[in-house]
Amino acid sequence: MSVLRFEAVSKVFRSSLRGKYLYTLGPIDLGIEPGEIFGYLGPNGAGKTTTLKLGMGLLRPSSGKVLIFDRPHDSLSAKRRVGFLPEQPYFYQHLTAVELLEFYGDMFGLERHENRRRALDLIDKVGLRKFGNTMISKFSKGMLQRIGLAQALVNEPDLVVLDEPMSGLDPIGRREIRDLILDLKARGKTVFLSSHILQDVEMICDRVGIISAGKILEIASVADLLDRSVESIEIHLEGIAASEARDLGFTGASALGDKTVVTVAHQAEINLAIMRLVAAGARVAAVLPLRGTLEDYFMRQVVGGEALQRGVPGSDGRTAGASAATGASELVSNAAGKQGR
Amino acid sequence: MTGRVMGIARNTFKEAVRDRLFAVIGVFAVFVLVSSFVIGPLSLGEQVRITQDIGLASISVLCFMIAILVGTSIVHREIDRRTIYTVISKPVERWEFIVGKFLGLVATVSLLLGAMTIMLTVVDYLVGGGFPTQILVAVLLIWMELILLTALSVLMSTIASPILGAIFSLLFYVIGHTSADIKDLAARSASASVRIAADVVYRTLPNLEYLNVRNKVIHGVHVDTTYVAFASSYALLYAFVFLVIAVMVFRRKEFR
Repeated sequence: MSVLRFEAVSKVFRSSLRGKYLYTLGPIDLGIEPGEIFGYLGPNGAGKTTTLKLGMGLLRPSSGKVLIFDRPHDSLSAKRRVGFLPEQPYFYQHLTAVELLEFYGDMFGLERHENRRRALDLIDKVGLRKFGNTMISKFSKGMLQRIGLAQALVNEPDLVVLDEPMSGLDPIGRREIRDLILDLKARGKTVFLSSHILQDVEMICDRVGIISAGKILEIASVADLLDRSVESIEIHLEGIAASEARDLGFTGASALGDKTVVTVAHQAEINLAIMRLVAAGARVAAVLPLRGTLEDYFMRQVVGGEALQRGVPGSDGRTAGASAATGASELVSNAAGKQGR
Repeated sequence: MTGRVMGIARNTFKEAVRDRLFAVIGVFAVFVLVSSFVIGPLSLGEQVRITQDIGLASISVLCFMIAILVGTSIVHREIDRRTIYTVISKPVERWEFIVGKFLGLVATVSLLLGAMTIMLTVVDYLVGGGFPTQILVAVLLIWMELILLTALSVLMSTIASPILGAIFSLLFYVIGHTSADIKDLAARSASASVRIAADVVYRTLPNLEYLNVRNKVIHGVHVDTTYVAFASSYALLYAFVFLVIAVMVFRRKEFR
Protein backbone atom coordinates (compact mmCIF):
# COMPACT_ATOMS: atom_id res chain seq x y z
CA MET A 1 0.00 0.00 0.00
CA SER A 2 1.40 3.36 -1.01
CA VAL A 3 1.22 6.06 1.62
CA LEU A 4 0.52 8.67 -1.02
CA ARG A 5 -0.64 7.69 -4.47
CA PHE A 6 -1.28 9.79 -7.56
CA GLU A 7 -3.34 7.81 -10.06
CA ALA A 8 -3.29 9.35 -13.53
CA VAL A 9 -3.57 12.80 -11.98
CA SER A 10 -3.57 15.72 -14.36
CA LYS A 11 -4.16 19.40 -13.93
CA VAL A 12 -4.96 21.85 -16.66
CA PHE A 13 -4.93 25.56 -15.98
CA ARG A 14 -6.85 27.62 -18.46
CA SER A 15 -7.06 31.34 -18.80
CA SER A 16 -10.46 32.19 -17.36
CA LEU A 17 -11.52 34.37 -20.26
CA ARG A 18 -10.89 32.36 -23.39
CA GLY A 19 -10.46 28.87 -21.98
CA LYS A 20 -7.01 28.78 -23.54
CA TYR A 21 -4.45 26.32 -22.11
CA LEU A 22 -1.97 28.01 -19.88
CA TYR A 23 -0.25 25.09 -18.30
CA THR A 24 -0.73 21.36 -18.06
CA LEU A 25 0.59 18.89 -15.54
CA GLY A 26 0.56 15.15 -15.90
CA PRO A 27 -0.96 12.68 -16.15
CA ILE A 28 1.09 11.67 -13.15
CA ASP A 29 1.32 8.17 -11.69
CA LEU A 30 3.34 8.12 -8.54
CA GLY A 31 3.36 6.11 -5.34
CA ILE A 32 5.24 7.06 -2.19
CA GLU A 33 6.03 3.95 -0.17
CA PRO A 34 5.90 3.63 3.62
CA GLY A 35 9.03 4.70 5.48
CA GLU A 36 10.90 6.13 2.52
CA ILE A 37 12.20 9.60 1.81
CA PHE A 38 11.13 10.40 -1.71
CA GLY A 39 12.73 13.33 -3.49
CA TYR A 40 10.79 15.12 -6.19
CA LEU A 41 13.20 16.85 -8.49
CA GLY A 42 12.71 19.28 -11.27
CA PRO A 43 13.61 22.70 -12.54
CA ASN A 44 11.57 25.73 -11.50
CA GLY A 45 8.18 25.63 -13.18
CA ALA A 46 8.34 21.88 -13.85
CA GLY A 47 5.23 21.18 -11.76
CA LYS A 48 6.64 20.15 -8.39
CA THR A 49 4.60 22.59 -6.31
CA THR A 50 1.49 21.93 -8.40
CA THR A 51 1.83 18.19 -7.73
CA LEU A 52 2.23 18.80 -4.01
CA LYS A 53 -0.75 21.18 -3.93
CA LEU A 54 -2.85 18.57 -5.70
CA GLY A 55 -1.80 16.10 -3.05
CA MET A 56 -2.68 18.46 -0.22
CA GLY A 57 -6.11 19.39 -1.60
CA LEU A 58 -5.20 22.99 -2.37
CA LEU A 59 -5.83 22.31 -6.05
CA ARG A 60 -8.37 19.95 -7.57
CA PRO A 61 -7.17 17.45 -10.19
CA SER A 62 -8.66 17.92 -13.67
CA SER A 63 -8.65 14.12 -13.88
CA GLY A 64 -7.39 11.16 -11.87
CA LYS A 65 -7.31 10.80 -8.12
CA VAL A 66 -5.01 11.19 -5.17
CA LEU A 67 -5.10 8.76 -2.26
CA ILE A 68 -3.46 9.14 1.12
CA PHE A 69 -3.37 5.93 3.15
CA ASP A 70 -5.91 4.62 0.62
CA ARG A 71 -8.38 7.35 1.47
CA PRO A 72 -9.37 10.35 -0.64
CA HIS A 73 -6.65 12.92 -0.04
CA ASP A 74 -9.07 15.67 0.95
CA SER A 75 -10.87 13.60 3.58
CA LEU A 76 -10.33 14.64 7.17
CA SER A 77 -9.15 11.15 8.14
CA ALA A 78 -6.37 11.37 5.53
CA LYS A 79 -5.41 14.93 6.47
CA ARG A 80 -5.08 13.97 10.13
CA ARG A 81 -2.07 11.83 9.25
CA VAL A 82 -0.29 14.36 7.07
CA GLY A 83 2.02 17.29 7.77
CA PHE A 84 2.66 19.84 5.03
CA LEU A 85 5.25 22.58 4.63
CA PRO A 86 4.48 24.85 1.65
CA GLU A 87 7.16 26.52 -0.42
CA GLN A 88 8.36 29.81 1.08
CA PRO A 89 5.85 29.56 3.90
CA TYR A 90 4.16 32.61 5.30
CA PHE A 91 2.48 32.63 8.67
CA TYR A 92 0.23 34.79 10.80
CA GLN A 93 2.34 37.80 11.63
CA HIS A 94 0.35 38.72 14.72
CA LEU A 95 1.11 35.51 16.58
CA THR A 96 4.16 34.41 18.53
CA ALA A 97 5.86 31.15 17.55
CA VAL A 98 4.20 29.28 20.43
CA GLU A 99 0.77 30.76 19.66
CA LEU A 100 1.18 29.80 16.01
CA LEU A 101 1.93 26.17 16.79
CA GLU A 102 -0.94 26.09 19.30
CA PHE A 103 -3.25 27.41 16.61
CA TYR A 104 -2.27 24.54 14.33
CA GLY A 105 -2.61 22.16 17.27
CA ASP A 106 -6.21 23.38 17.63
CA MET A 107 -6.84 22.24 14.05
CA PHE A 108 -6.08 18.70 15.22
CA GLY A 109 -8.20 19.05 18.34
CA LEU A 110 -5.21 18.77 20.68
CA GLU A 111 -6.02 19.19 24.34
CA ARG A 112 -4.63 22.45 25.80
CA HIS A 113 -1.75 21.09 27.88
CA GLU A 114 -0.73 18.60 25.23
CA ASN A 115 -0.91 21.38 22.65
CA ARG A 116 1.42 23.59 24.68
CA ARG A 117 3.81 20.72 25.40
CA ARG A 118 4.09 19.82 21.71
CA ALA A 119 4.53 23.45 20.69
CA LEU A 120 7.45 23.95 23.09
CA ASP A 121 8.94 20.61 22.18
CA LEU A 122 8.82 21.33 18.45
CA ILE A 123 10.19 24.84 18.84
CA ASP A 124 13.10 23.32 20.67
CA LYS A 125 13.57 20.65 18.02
CA VAL A 126 13.76 23.10 15.13
CA GLY A 127 16.26 25.26 16.99
CA LEU A 128 14.03 28.19 17.91
CA ARG A 129 14.06 27.71 21.68
CA LYS A 130 14.93 31.34 22.37
CA PHE A 131 12.22 32.61 20.04
CA GLY A 132 9.08 30.94 21.38
CA ASN A 133 7.58 34.25 22.45
CA THR A 134 8.84 36.26 19.49
CA MET A 135 6.26 37.53 17.02
CA ILE A 136 6.39 35.76 13.66
CA SER A 137 6.62 39.20 12.02
CA LYS A 138 10.16 39.46 13.43
CA PHE A 139 11.27 36.11 11.97
CA SER A 140 13.93 35.83 9.26
CA LYS A 141 13.44 33.62 6.20
CA GLY A 142 15.39 30.80 7.75
CA MET A 143 13.39 31.01 10.98
CA LEU A 144 10.14 30.92 8.98
CA GLN A 145 11.34 27.75 7.30
CA ARG A 146 12.04 26.21 10.69
CA ILE A 147 8.73 27.18 12.24
CA GLY A 148 7.14 25.94 9.02
CA LEU A 149 8.68 22.55 9.56
CA ALA A 150 7.53 22.61 13.19
CA GLN A 151 3.92 23.30 12.17
CA ALA A 152 4.08 20.40 9.72
CA LEU A 153 4.95 18.07 12.60
CA VAL A 154 2.41 19.32 15.14
CA ASN A 155 0.15 16.29 14.66
CA GLU A 156 3.02 13.78 14.66
CA PRO A 157 2.12 12.87 11.08
CA ASP A 158 2.85 9.57 9.38
CA LEU A 159 3.41 11.33 6.07
CA VAL A 160 5.34 14.59 5.87
CA VAL A 161 5.15 16.57 2.63
CA LEU A 162 7.78 19.28 2.29
CA ASP A 163 7.99 21.74 -0.58
CA GLU A 164 11.57 22.95 -0.92
CA PRO A 165 12.35 22.51 2.78
CA MET A 166 15.97 23.56 2.44
CA SER A 167 15.43 26.72 0.44
CA GLY A 168 16.51 29.91 2.13
CA LEU A 169 18.69 28.16 4.66
CA ASP A 170 22.42 28.51 5.21
CA PRO A 171 24.60 25.36 5.13
CA ILE A 172 24.22 24.82 8.89
CA GLY A 173 20.46 25.24 8.70
CA ARG A 174 20.28 22.84 5.75
CA ARG A 175 22.20 20.27 7.65
CA GLU A 176 19.92 20.61 10.66
CA ILE A 177 16.82 20.21 8.51
CA ARG A 178 18.41 17.21 6.77
CA ASP A 179 19.06 15.64 10.16
CA LEU A 180 15.47 16.32 11.19
CA ILE A 181 14.19 14.63 8.04
CA LEU A 182 16.45 11.64 8.62
CA ASP A 183 15.18 11.51 12.19
CA LEU A 184 11.61 11.37 10.85
CA LYS A 185 12.57 8.42 8.68
CA ALA A 186 14.26 6.72 11.63
CA ARG A 187 10.96 7.03 13.48
CA GLY A 188 9.15 5.25 10.66
CA LYS A 189 7.62 8.29 8.98
CA THR A 190 7.33 8.72 5.26
CA VAL A 191 8.70 11.90 3.70
CA PHE A 192 7.86 13.33 0.30
CA LEU A 193 9.95 16.37 -0.47
CA SER A 194 10.49 18.50 -3.49
CA SER A 195 13.76 20.19 -4.11
CA HIS A 196 16.09 21.55 -6.68
CA ILE A 197 19.05 21.25 -4.35
CA LEU A 198 20.32 17.93 -5.64
CA GLN A 199 23.08 17.56 -3.13
CA ASP A 200 20.57 17.41 -0.31
CA VAL A 201 18.35 14.99 -2.18
CA GLU A 202 21.28 12.73 -2.96
CA MET A 203 22.29 12.67 0.68
CA ILE A 204 18.95 11.80 2.25
CA CYS A 205 16.50 10.39 -0.28
CA ASP A 206 15.84 6.72 -0.94
CA ARG A 207 14.09 7.30 -4.25
CA VAL A 208 13.67 10.21 -6.57
CA GLY A 209 11.21 11.22 -9.22
CA ILE A 210 12.40 13.59 -11.90
CA ILE A 211 9.81 15.93 -13.37
CA SER A 212 10.20 18.35 -16.20
CA ALA A 213 7.62 20.40 -18.10
CA GLY A 214 4.77 18.74 -16.24
CA LYS A 215 5.80 15.15 -16.96
CA ILE A 216 7.59 12.64 -14.77
CA LEU A 217 10.68 11.55 -16.68
CA GLU A 218 11.91 8.89 -14.33
CA ILE A 219 11.36 7.33 -10.92
CA ALA A 220 14.24 5.36 -9.46
CA SER A 221 16.17 4.71 -6.28
CA VAL A 222 19.08 7.04 -5.62
CA ALA A 223 21.42 4.01 -5.35
CA ASP A 224 20.27 2.84 -8.78
CA LEU A 225 20.84 6.22 -10.34
CA LEU A 226 24.28 6.44 -8.80
CA ASP A 227 25.16 2.94 -10.02
CA ARG A 228 23.96 3.89 -13.43
CA SER A 229 26.14 6.94 -13.29
CA VAL A 230 29.36 4.90 -12.86
CA GLU A 231 31.28 5.91 -15.92
CA SER A 232 34.50 3.90 -15.41
CA ILE A 233 36.50 2.10 -12.73
CA GLU A 234 40.00 3.01 -11.66
CA ILE A 235 42.37 0.32 -10.33
CA HIS A 236 45.23 1.79 -8.30
CA LEU A 237 48.27 -0.47 -8.30
CA GLU A 238 51.65 -0.75 -6.64
CA GLY A 239 54.65 -2.73 -7.81
CA ILE A 240 54.07 -2.19 -11.50
CA ALA A 241 55.11 0.69 -13.73
CA ALA A 242 52.65 2.45 -16.04
CA SER A 243 54.65 1.34 -19.06
CA GLU A 244 54.45 -2.30 -17.96
CA ALA A 245 50.71 -2.01 -17.60
CA ARG A 246 50.46 -0.46 -21.03
CA ASP A 247 52.45 -3.39 -22.38
CA LEU A 248 49.80 -5.69 -20.94
CA GLY A 249 47.24 -3.91 -23.12
CA PHE A 250 45.95 -1.35 -20.62
CA THR A 251 46.61 1.53 -22.97
CA GLY A 252 45.28 4.26 -20.68
CA ALA A 253 47.54 3.31 -17.74
CA SER A 254 49.20 6.30 -16.10
CA ALA A 255 51.35 7.07 -13.12
CA LEU A 256 49.84 8.75 -10.08
CA GLY A 257 52.58 9.47 -7.55
CA ASP A 258 54.24 6.15 -6.77
CA LYS A 259 51.20 4.25 -8.00
CA THR A 260 49.94 3.24 -11.40
CA VAL A 261 46.36 3.80 -12.37
CA VAL A 262 44.57 1.52 -14.82
CA THR A 263 41.10 2.38 -15.99
CA VAL A 264 38.47 -0.11 -17.14
CA ALA A 265 35.11 0.81 -18.64
CA HIS A 266 32.80 -1.76 -17.03
CA GLN A 267 32.42 -3.52 -13.73
CA ALA A 268 32.56 -6.89 -15.54
CA GLU A 269 36.12 -6.22 -16.66
CA ILE A 270 37.52 -5.63 -13.18
CA ASN A 271 38.27 -9.24 -12.23
CA LEU A 272 40.02 -10.15 -15.42
CA ALA A 273 42.10 -6.98 -15.36
CA ILE A 274 43.15 -7.52 -11.76
CA MET A 275 44.08 -11.15 -12.43
CA ARG A 276 46.32 -10.15 -15.31
CA LEU A 277 47.94 -7.28 -13.43
CA VAL A 278 48.53 -9.35 -10.27
CA ALA A 279 50.05 -12.12 -12.40
CA ALA A 280 52.48 -9.48 -13.69
CA GLY A 281 53.53 -8.69 -10.11
CA ALA A 282 51.21 -5.80 -9.26
CA ARG A 283 49.52 -5.32 -5.90
CA VAL A 284 46.04 -3.77 -5.86
CA ALA A 285 45.94 -0.64 -3.66
CA ALA A 286 42.39 0.46 -4.41
CA VAL A 287 39.47 0.00 -6.79
CA LEU A 288 37.47 3.16 -7.25
CA PRO A 289 34.33 3.60 -9.33
CA LEU A 290 34.35 6.93 -11.09
CA ARG A 291 30.85 8.29 -11.12
CA GLY A 292 29.06 11.29 -12.27
CA THR A 293 26.85 12.88 -9.63
CA LEU A 294 23.10 12.81 -9.40
CA GLU A 295 23.43 16.28 -10.78
CA ASP A 296 25.04 14.98 -13.96
CA TYR A 297 22.31 12.42 -14.32
CA PHE A 298 19.63 14.96 -13.69
CA MET A 299 21.15 17.32 -16.21
CA ARG A 300 21.18 14.65 -18.86
CA GLN A 301 17.56 13.82 -18.15
CA VAL A 302 16.17 17.31 -17.94
CA VAL A 303 18.34 19.59 -19.93
CA GLY A 304 19.82 17.01 -22.24
CA GLY A 305 23.40 16.52 -23.33
CA GLU A 306 23.59 20.00 -24.70
CA ALA A 307 24.02 21.58 -21.29
CA LEU A 308 26.79 19.17 -20.42
CA GLN A 309 28.68 20.00 -23.57
CA ARG A 310 28.48 23.66 -22.73
CA GLY A 311 30.31 23.01 -19.50
CA VAL A 312 27.63 23.56 -16.92
CA PRO A 313 29.09 23.49 -13.39
CA GLY A 314 29.16 19.95 -12.09
CA SER A 315 28.90 18.35 -15.48
CA ASP A 316 32.54 17.46 -15.50
CA GLY A 317 32.72 16.94 -11.77
CA ARG A 318 33.60 13.27 -11.89
CA THR A 319 34.09 12.19 -8.35
CA ALA A 320 35.75 9.02 -7.18
CA GLY A 321 34.23 7.02 -4.35
CA ALA A 322 30.90 6.11 -2.96
CA SER A 323 29.75 9.56 -1.97
CA ALA A 324 29.58 11.35 -5.22
CA ALA A 325 28.19 14.70 -4.16
CA THR A 326 29.79 17.75 -5.60
CA GLY A 327 29.25 21.29 -4.51
CA ALA A 328 27.13 22.96 -7.14
CA SER A 329 23.71 22.99 -5.59
CA GLU A 330 21.55 25.56 -7.32
CA LEU A 331 22.04 23.51 -10.39
CA VAL A 332 18.92 24.08 -12.29
CA SER A 333 19.13 27.81 -12.24
CA ASN A 334 22.78 27.53 -13.26
CA ALA A 335 21.87 25.30 -16.14
CA ALA A 336 19.03 27.52 -17.24
CA GLY A 337 21.31 30.53 -17.01
CA LYS A 338 24.00 28.92 -19.11
CA GLN A 339 21.56 27.71 -21.66
CA GLY A 340 20.06 31.11 -22.08
CA ARG A 341 23.38 32.67 -22.97
CA MET B 1 -15.29 20.43 14.82
CA THR B 2 -16.06 23.03 17.52
CA GLY B 3 -12.39 23.14 18.49
CA ARG B 4 -11.32 23.94 14.93
CA VAL B 5 -13.99 26.59 14.40
CA MET B 6 -13.17 28.18 17.74
CA GLY B 7 -9.43 27.96 17.01
CA ILE B 8 -9.91 29.82 13.73
CA ALA B 9 -12.25 32.30 15.44
CA ARG B 10 -9.75 32.94 18.24
CA ASN B 11 -6.96 33.50 15.74
CA THR B 12 -9.13 35.90 13.70
CA PHE B 13 -10.03 37.78 16.87
CA LYS B 14 -6.38 38.08 17.93
CA GLU B 15 -5.40 39.25 14.46
CA ALA B 16 -8.10 41.93 14.42
CA VAL B 17 -7.55 43.30 17.92
CA ARG B 18 -3.76 43.31 17.50
CA ASP B 19 -4.17 45.31 14.30
CA ARG B 20 -3.37 49.00 14.55
CA LEU B 21 -6.73 49.81 12.96
CA PHE B 22 -8.55 48.43 15.99
CA ALA B 23 -6.54 50.62 18.36
CA VAL B 24 -7.14 53.69 16.20
CA ILE B 25 -10.88 53.10 16.09
CA GLY B 26 -10.92 52.36 19.83
CA VAL B 27 -9.23 55.66 20.62
CA PHE B 28 -11.58 57.43 18.24
CA ALA B 29 -14.56 55.82 20.00
CA VAL B 30 -13.42 57.15 23.37
CA PHE B 31 -12.90 60.56 21.84
CA VAL B 32 -16.41 60.68 20.31
CA LEU B 33 -18.15 59.53 23.48
CA VAL B 34 -16.24 61.98 25.65
CA SER B 35 -16.95 64.77 23.18
CA SER B 36 -20.68 63.99 23.40
CA PHE B 37 -20.28 64.59 27.12
CA VAL B 38 -18.70 67.96 26.39
CA ILE B 39 -21.08 69.00 23.58
CA GLY B 40 -24.17 67.98 25.56
CA PRO B 41 -24.35 71.05 27.84
CA LEU B 42 -24.44 73.34 24.78
CA SER B 43 -27.74 71.85 23.71
CA LEU B 44 -30.03 73.64 26.17
CA GLY B 45 -31.81 70.93 28.11
CA GLU B 46 -31.41 68.25 25.44
CA GLN B 47 -28.16 66.94 26.91
CA VAL B 48 -29.36 63.38 27.53
CA ARG B 49 -30.91 63.07 24.10
CA ILE B 50 -27.82 64.51 22.36
CA THR B 51 -25.50 62.22 24.30
CA GLN B 52 -27.59 59.18 23.42
CA ASP B 53 -27.92 60.24 19.80
CA ILE B 54 -24.20 60.85 19.25
CA GLY B 55 -23.35 57.78 21.30
CA LEU B 56 -25.58 55.34 19.42
CA ALA B 57 -24.69 56.78 16.03
CA SER B 58 -20.97 56.53 16.73
CA ILE B 59 -21.31 52.98 18.05
CA SER B 60 -23.11 52.00 14.88
CA VAL B 61 -20.72 53.71 12.47
CA LEU B 62 -17.42 52.73 14.14
CA CYS B 63 -18.41 49.10 14.58
CA PHE B 64 -19.62 49.09 10.97
CA MET B 65 -16.19 50.38 9.93
CA ILE B 66 -14.41 47.54 11.73
CA ALA B 67 -16.80 44.96 10.26
CA ILE B 68 -16.26 46.24 6.73
CA LEU B 69 -12.59 47.18 6.81
CA VAL B 70 -11.48 43.97 8.49
CA GLY B 71 -14.20 41.76 7.06
CA THR B 72 -13.80 42.47 3.38
CA SER B 73 -10.15 41.39 3.46
CA ILE B 74 -10.54 38.55 5.93
CA VAL B 75 -10.47 35.59 3.51
CA HIS B 76 -8.79 37.40 0.64
CA ARG B 77 -5.81 38.20 2.85
CA GLU B 78 -5.38 34.55 3.84
CA ILE B 79 -5.22 33.57 0.18
CA ASP B 80 -3.09 36.51 -0.83
CA ARG B 81 -0.55 35.90 1.95
CA ARG B 82 -0.75 32.13 1.48
CA THR B 83 -1.45 31.51 5.17
CA ILE B 84 -4.43 29.52 3.88
CA TYR B 85 -2.11 26.73 2.61
CA THR B 86 -1.20 25.54 6.06
CA VAL B 87 -4.80 25.72 7.31
CA ILE B 88 -6.63 24.03 4.44
CA SER B 89 -4.07 21.22 4.38
CA LYS B 90 -4.98 20.48 8.02
CA PRO B 91 -8.15 18.48 8.79
CA VAL B 92 -10.36 21.54 8.44
CA GLU B 93 -13.60 21.62 6.47
CA ARG B 94 -14.02 24.60 4.22
CA TRP B 95 -17.20 25.67 6.02
CA GLU B 96 -15.40 25.54 9.36
CA PHE B 97 -12.88 28.02 8.04
CA ILE B 98 -15.56 30.47 6.90
CA VAL B 99 -17.65 30.13 10.07
CA GLY B 100 -14.51 30.48 12.22
CA LYS B 101 -13.49 33.64 10.41
CA PHE B 102 -17.03 35.01 10.75
CA LEU B 103 -17.27 34.25 14.48
CA GLY B 104 -13.84 35.75 15.13
CA LEU B 105 -14.86 38.96 13.45
CA VAL B 106 -18.23 39.01 15.24
CA ALA B 107 -16.31 38.67 18.52
CA THR B 108 -14.06 41.59 17.54
CA VAL B 109 -16.98 43.81 16.60
CA SER B 110 -18.82 42.75 19.75
CA LEU B 111 -15.83 43.70 21.91
CA LEU B 112 -15.83 47.20 20.47
CA LEU B 113 -19.63 47.39 20.69
CA GLY B 114 -19.61 46.20 24.32
CA ALA B 115 -16.87 48.61 25.36
CA MET B 116 -18.57 51.55 23.67
CA THR B 117 -21.92 50.61 25.17
CA ILE B 118 -20.43 50.59 28.67
CA MET B 119 -18.86 53.99 28.03
CA LEU B 120 -22.13 55.33 26.67
CA THR B 121 -24.04 54.00 29.69
CA VAL B 122 -21.62 55.72 32.05
CA VAL B 123 -21.73 59.00 30.13
CA ASP B 124 -25.53 58.78 29.95
CA TYR B 125 -25.71 58.22 33.70
CA LEU B 126 -23.40 61.17 34.34
CA VAL B 127 -25.51 63.55 32.26
CA GLY B 128 -28.60 62.43 34.17
CA GLY B 129 -30.15 59.92 31.79
CA GLY B 130 -30.35 57.20 34.45
CA PHE B 131 -29.88 53.57 33.44
CA PRO B 132 -30.97 53.43 29.82
CA THR B 133 -32.72 50.05 29.36
CA GLN B 134 -34.19 51.10 26.04
CA ILE B 135 -30.78 52.19 24.80
CA LEU B 136 -29.68 48.63 25.32
CA VAL B 137 -32.53 47.55 23.02
CA ALA B 138 -31.17 49.88 20.35
CA VAL B 139 -27.67 48.48 20.95
CA LEU B 140 -28.98 44.92 20.64
CA LEU B 141 -30.42 45.71 17.21
CA ILE B 142 -27.22 47.50 16.19
CA TRP B 143 -25.46 44.27 17.13
CA MET B 144 -27.84 42.28 14.92
CA GLU B 145 -27.16 44.64 12.04
CA LEU B 146 -23.44 44.23 12.60
CA ILE B 147 -23.74 40.44 12.52
CA LEU B 148 -25.55 40.75 9.19
CA LEU B 149 -22.93 43.15 7.82
CA THR B 150 -20.09 40.98 9.09
CA ALA B 151 -21.52 37.98 7.23
CA LEU B 152 -21.87 40.16 4.15
CA SER B 153 -18.26 41.33 4.33
CA VAL B 154 -17.01 37.75 4.81
CA LEU B 155 -18.97 36.81 1.69
CA MET B 156 -17.46 39.78 -0.15
CA SER B 157 -13.96 38.71 0.83
CA THR B 158 -14.48 35.31 -0.78
CA ILE B 159 -15.49 36.79 -4.12
CA ALA B 160 -13.89 40.21 -4.48
CA SER B 161 -10.77 42.18 -3.70
CA PRO B 162 -10.86 44.10 -0.40
CA ILE B 163 -11.40 47.48 -2.08
CA LEU B 164 -14.19 46.23 -4.31
CA GLY B 165 -15.70 44.35 -1.37
CA ALA B 166 -15.64 47.47 0.79
CA ILE B 167 -17.31 49.51 -1.95
CA PHE B 168 -20.02 46.86 -2.40
CA SER B 169 -20.57 46.61 1.33
CA LEU B 170 -20.84 50.37 1.67
CA LEU B 171 -23.34 50.47 -1.19
CA PHE B 172 -25.27 47.68 0.47
CA TYR B 173 -25.28 49.61 3.75
CA VAL B 174 -26.53 52.78 2.08
CA ILE B 175 -29.19 50.94 0.06
CA GLY B 176 -30.24 48.99 3.14
CA HIS B 177 -30.81 52.21 5.04
CA THR B 178 -32.69 53.88 2.19
CA SER B 179 -34.93 50.93 1.46
CA ALA B 180 -38.08 53.01 1.88
CA ASP B 181 -36.89 55.48 -0.76
CA ILE B 182 -36.09 52.65 -3.13
CA LYS B 183 -39.56 51.25 -2.66
CA ASP B 184 -40.86 54.71 -3.43
CA LEU B 185 -38.73 54.85 -6.54
CA ALA B 186 -40.05 51.44 -7.61
CA ALA B 187 -43.60 52.74 -7.34
CA ARG B 188 -43.20 56.16 -8.91
CA SER B 189 -40.47 56.13 -11.52
CA ALA B 190 -41.56 56.93 -15.06
CA SER B 191 -39.07 54.50 -16.54
CA ALA B 192 -40.13 50.85 -16.50
CA SER B 193 -36.57 49.57 -16.28
CA VAL B 194 -35.80 51.77 -13.29
CA ARG B 195 -39.06 50.58 -11.67
CA ILE B 196 -38.12 46.92 -12.16
CA ALA B 197 -34.51 47.42 -11.02
CA ALA B 198 -35.61 49.34 -7.92
CA ASP B 199 -38.21 46.68 -7.16
CA VAL B 200 -35.65 43.87 -7.43
CA VAL B 201 -33.21 45.74 -5.18
CA TYR B 202 -35.97 46.47 -2.66
CA ARG B 203 -37.11 42.85 -2.54
CA THR B 204 -33.72 41.14 -2.41
CA LEU B 205 -31.61 43.35 -0.18
CA PRO B 206 -32.48 43.60 3.50
CA ASN B 207 -34.11 46.70 4.88
CA LEU B 208 -31.59 47.75 7.48
CA GLU B 209 -33.96 50.40 8.84
CA TYR B 210 -35.86 47.56 10.56
CA LEU B 211 -32.82 47.33 12.78
CA ASN B 212 -32.60 51.04 13.47
CA VAL B 213 -34.66 52.00 16.51
CA ARG B 214 -32.29 54.71 17.66
CA ASN B 215 -34.67 57.60 17.07
CA LYS B 216 -37.57 55.81 18.73
CA VAL B 217 -35.50 55.00 21.79
CA ILE B 218 -34.05 58.47 22.11
CA HIS B 219 -37.50 60.01 21.87
CA GLY B 220 -38.92 57.61 24.44
CA VAL B 221 -41.02 55.46 22.11
CA HIS B 222 -41.23 51.98 23.57
CA VAL B 223 -39.88 49.15 21.39
CA ASP B 224 -41.53 45.87 22.37
CA THR B 225 -39.98 42.43 22.57
CA THR B 226 -41.95 41.00 19.65
CA TYR B 227 -40.50 43.64 17.37
CA VAL B 228 -36.99 43.01 18.66
CA ALA B 229 -37.42 39.26 18.14
CA PHE B 230 -38.74 39.78 14.60
CA ALA B 231 -35.99 42.23 13.62
CA SER B 232 -33.30 40.01 15.14
CA SER B 233 -34.53 36.92 13.29
CA TYR B 234 -34.66 38.98 10.09
CA ALA B 235 -30.99 39.97 10.50
CA LEU B 236 -29.82 36.51 11.52
CA LEU B 237 -31.62 34.90 8.59
CA TYR B 238 -29.86 37.22 6.14
CA ALA B 239 -26.53 36.59 7.89
CA PHE B 240 -27.12 32.85 7.56
CA VAL B 241 -27.88 33.15 3.85
CA PHE B 242 -24.75 35.23 3.25
CA LEU B 243 -22.64 32.69 5.09
CA VAL B 244 -24.12 29.80 3.13
CA ILE B 245 -23.27 31.58 -0.12
CA ALA B 246 -19.76 32.35 1.19
CA VAL B 247 -19.22 28.67 2.02
CA MET B 248 -20.49 27.61 -1.41
CA VAL B 249 -18.08 30.01 -3.11
CA PHE B 250 -15.18 29.07 -0.85
CA ARG B 251 -15.74 25.33 -1.38
CA ARG B 252 -15.02 25.75 -5.07
CA LYS B 253 -11.88 27.75 -4.53
CA GLU B 254 -8.45 26.51 -5.51
CA PHE B 255 -5.22 27.95 -4.17
CA ARG B 256 -2.59 28.35 -6.85
